[in-house]
Amino acid sequence: MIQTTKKYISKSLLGLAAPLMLTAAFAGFAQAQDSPKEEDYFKINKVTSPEGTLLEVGGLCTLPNGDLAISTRRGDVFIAENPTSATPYFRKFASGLHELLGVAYKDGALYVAQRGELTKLKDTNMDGKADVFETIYAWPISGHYHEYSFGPKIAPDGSFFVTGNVAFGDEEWWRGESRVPMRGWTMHIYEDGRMEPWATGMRSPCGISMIDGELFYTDNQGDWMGSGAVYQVPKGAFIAHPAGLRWTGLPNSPVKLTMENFLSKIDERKTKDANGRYIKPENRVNEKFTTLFEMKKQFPEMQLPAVWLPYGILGISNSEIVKIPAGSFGPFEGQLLVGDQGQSIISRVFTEKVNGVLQGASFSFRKGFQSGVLRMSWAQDGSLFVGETNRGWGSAGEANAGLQRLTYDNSKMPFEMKAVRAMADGFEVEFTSPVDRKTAEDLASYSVESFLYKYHPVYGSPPINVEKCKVKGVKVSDDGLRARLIVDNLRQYYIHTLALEGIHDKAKSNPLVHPIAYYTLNSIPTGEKLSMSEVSTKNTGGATAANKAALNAVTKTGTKAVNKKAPEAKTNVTGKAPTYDEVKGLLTKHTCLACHNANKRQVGPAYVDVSKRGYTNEEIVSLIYNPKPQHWPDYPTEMPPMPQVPKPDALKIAAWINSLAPASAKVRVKDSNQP
Amino acid sequence: MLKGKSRSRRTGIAGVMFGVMFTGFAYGQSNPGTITLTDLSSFKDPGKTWKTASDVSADRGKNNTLNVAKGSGLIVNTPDSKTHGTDLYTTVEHGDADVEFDFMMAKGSNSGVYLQGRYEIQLLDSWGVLKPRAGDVGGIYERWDDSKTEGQKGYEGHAPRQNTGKAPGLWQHMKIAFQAPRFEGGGKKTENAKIVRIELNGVTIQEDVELTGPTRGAMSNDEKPTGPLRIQGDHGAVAFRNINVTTYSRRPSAAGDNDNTDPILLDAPVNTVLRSFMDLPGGPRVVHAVSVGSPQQVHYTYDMDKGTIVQVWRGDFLNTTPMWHDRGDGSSRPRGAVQILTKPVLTLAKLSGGQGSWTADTASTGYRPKGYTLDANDRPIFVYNIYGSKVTDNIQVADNGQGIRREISVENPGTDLYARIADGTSIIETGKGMYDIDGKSYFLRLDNSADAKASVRDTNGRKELIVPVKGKLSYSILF
Repeated sequence: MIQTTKKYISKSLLGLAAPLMLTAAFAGFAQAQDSPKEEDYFKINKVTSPEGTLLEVGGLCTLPNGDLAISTRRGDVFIAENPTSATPYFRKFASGLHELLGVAYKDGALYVAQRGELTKLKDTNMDGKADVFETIYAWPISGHYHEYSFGPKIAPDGSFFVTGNVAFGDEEWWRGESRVPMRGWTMHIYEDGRMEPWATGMRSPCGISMIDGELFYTDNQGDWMGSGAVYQVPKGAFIAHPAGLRWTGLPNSPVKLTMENFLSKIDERKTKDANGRYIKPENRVNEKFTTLFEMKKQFPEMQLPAVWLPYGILGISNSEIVKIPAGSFGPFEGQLLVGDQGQSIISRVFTEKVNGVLQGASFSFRKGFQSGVLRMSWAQDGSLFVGETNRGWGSAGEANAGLQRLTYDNSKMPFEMKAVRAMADGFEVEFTSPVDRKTAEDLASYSVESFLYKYHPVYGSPPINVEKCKVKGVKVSDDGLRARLIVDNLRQYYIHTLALEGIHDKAKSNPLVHPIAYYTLNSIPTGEKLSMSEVSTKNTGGATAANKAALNAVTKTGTKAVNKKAPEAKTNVTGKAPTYDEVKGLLTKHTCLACHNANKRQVGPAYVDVSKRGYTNEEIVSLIYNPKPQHWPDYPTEMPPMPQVPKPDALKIAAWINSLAPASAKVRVKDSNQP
Repeated sequence: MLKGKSRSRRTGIAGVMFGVMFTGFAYGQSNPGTITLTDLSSFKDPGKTWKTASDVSADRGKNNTLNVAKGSGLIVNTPDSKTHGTDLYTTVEHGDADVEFDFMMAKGSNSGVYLQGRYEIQLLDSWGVLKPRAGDVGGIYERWDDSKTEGQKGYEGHAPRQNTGKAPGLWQHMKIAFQAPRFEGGGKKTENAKIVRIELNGVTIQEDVELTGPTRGAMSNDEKPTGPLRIQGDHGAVAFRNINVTTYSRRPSAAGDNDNTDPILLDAPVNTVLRSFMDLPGGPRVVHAVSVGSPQQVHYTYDMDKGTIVQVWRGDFLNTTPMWHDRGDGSSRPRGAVQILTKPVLTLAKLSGGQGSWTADTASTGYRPKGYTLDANDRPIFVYNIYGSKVTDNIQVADNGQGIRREISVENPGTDLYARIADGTSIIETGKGMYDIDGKSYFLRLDNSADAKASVRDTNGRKELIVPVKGKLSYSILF
């Protein structure tokens, strides 16, 4: 704990603090400045394309000859020849298609999901572009803007999977609804045009993926979706969003859960006010809520997330999942990568089966893509094509679109948690390179807590039931590659945040590139437990300090900046607004910066634009706790309620936001809809 | 944005509410109300070539010829070699005004509307012209200076943005927003006259064009606060109806539009296909729509859910901003002059003995879209199955860009298979295999009329044109 604070102490304080710190501490500071970052190992490269080629990428697919098929929102399919070279050649293979959000290759043809159909594209006259646009299967669609269709993904038997977004209500614009059959569903489609409903409960299933011949997907945070997550999708599964249950009565539905049964067990909060207008469900701070795993007891066909991607950190609007092939990306081969559109990031997921149940850990991996990460495809040289768009939703990457390529420098080994495995009495962390035994055997280097999300019709969910998990002992393997932790208070189904901020590697005494893992503990293994006699219980920070560090780790981003202890803004007592430096730590810790920037629009409005609304500090606090997205109609992604932000923090953030307002803008906007 | 059919549907009641209407006449005077015309008394000296009529139709084979049915409801000019036509001048005068009317050109004919008798908006048979000039329909005619050398005399003509003019013999619609020149007390002009906007067949083709002075052939080369509306009659056969003039003492300035969006426009310099949602006026939204554009500037939208052409249009291809800007709503819109052909219903269906209502139920027919192939010129040829038969639907631009020609081929059509090829308030056979649809909104021509025994039938107060299908059916939509 002491180390963390010292390490990031500001330069101006250094002169004062340095005499008190001994050499080791000073070394810590120096390393913090120089310690390697993700971009030192994984580089984002440009893929050149002719000027004017608008690559709002909806689908990517590496062809057997190494060419890259790219499908775009504008309805084009390009084939980039020699795509890892300095000058790929872009051939327009097809055009005029309806907002393509996927492309796949099979038997000499390309297959694309348009908004309303699965289409086969074939070049039969060998002029280099498609002349056959065959409808494999056309599905109904109501014409709502949000009715996107994703895919196809091709199963080992050559059949196809396509997923469909829900629409939203007219008056209840916040409520996902399935206006026509198969919205909110996964469809299983055969080459001959047969379609069998496969699974439902999807909301915005952009992340349709085929991993080792099995169907997986990610969804976007929203109503009924507390956060992003990786789900396996077996036939007959019900994920979470109830809209698609409307069609489970169809004779060929493999899902038998009825809407009636669902609504008899859970309140969808469809209520009207005195004027007969529907009331948007808001998060209720003190309520008896339920969670996915509790509802699974009622609805056995429910499919729990294999691995959660915590909101604001890894999972806002998740997209494609790919498996890292053998020989690629060094220590991480065989693991999964998952994109996120809003945050313009790729996360890493390690999975394992425990008692036959899939679960695992998610980690930050690479940020800084130019636009929202939607699709990924492996190049033949082991690099990763990344297809990007934010198509009006906004993203951390400021470009609207892009095609980039992520490469790994295999001469370097990032110091990372390679894997986290559940144990009967805790976790085992595997490292990519040996740890510094001194830090690794010190309990102060670890902190663990667990939490979960609500399952409710509200947009998103705050983390709930947050509890600390005491780290009681650690056993570091002889080779320094594994740390076995005895952790108290393991809770099945919960996300366990393991923050290893004190761990250094053996070779250079560097901290972990990404020190936090989020482990979804769907099943607690049986098996041997460690005896206290064989573990280290050394704790230089003391139990209290360690647990203090763990507190709110869930809301930390996992980037290094998070470690920066926000200077306590003493100035605030004078009534003066805090500076950015004084609130930056809070903004990071509470994941505000995942969607907001001080001066620029990202997923959410710039803080300076918020300041122009003339809210009082108290009003901003209440909007943090219960956002009113209707105030920001130009921003399609709703802000989730964030009641977990402590009021003093929220007030400080509010004061800072209001300090940004230009003098001329400090006029109260009169609007009866505003608080 | 899309032109509805309501104007053409007025034909039936035109005798009652028709003629030159001046409304809101201003300059502080009392409102003269609506002038209803059943003869030519609203015009000074109409001459011999102008008359009222109950109906007109163009002779499609002959230049400058309109066939006239006696009666009232519209006015028509039929000059010939002996009787040179004269221009019409209204007895009342206008300053700032909106002038709106339907007109019909004879083949090869030329007319025009002069605002204040001085500023001419050209009316011409410009059917199929790909690069319209100031002298084409909707153009603001050039000014003229005799003192300049040959070839330099004409100046300041303003071409329309696109040619949205229709075939001769069809009713077309024009709406002009005009601002008169301004004068100070002493009579000195302080502001030029201005064409605020011209819409031709529902499409804005001119906007904010300043008129520095009278155009060629003006009644006078001076400029005044008011002048009569003048209709050119000395060049060719033309008919008008539903002429409406709304005057303003001073035109209210248009409300500012705060939309900062750069539009995303799609042209069709080559045959171009684009799928999108397509909203029909009054609904529905066609969700499996394919719009096909051509360099001949004749375009259509095909509904792949029904195997049906729902609309055709002329002019520029698509505005894709609604689909491609920001999140988008998945839809695009025609930029040219649209002719709606039908609500989305199946083109092919079984009718037992040619009787019974047209099926609204796609499922019972086994309808199944199979997509399309592109021909050598990148034109889509649609394929679908219905009643177990394979149907090929080949739609191409008709010769000289006069419309579209459609050939439907059905393998093993079986018995009682019919095509419903037109729907409207009126369908009138005007010649062998030639039909006037919806009060001359467009023409339909059966191209294999020898085989096809088409019939017009009543359905819920509307008309349908149905044809038994034995294997191949070919017809053209001319507009």
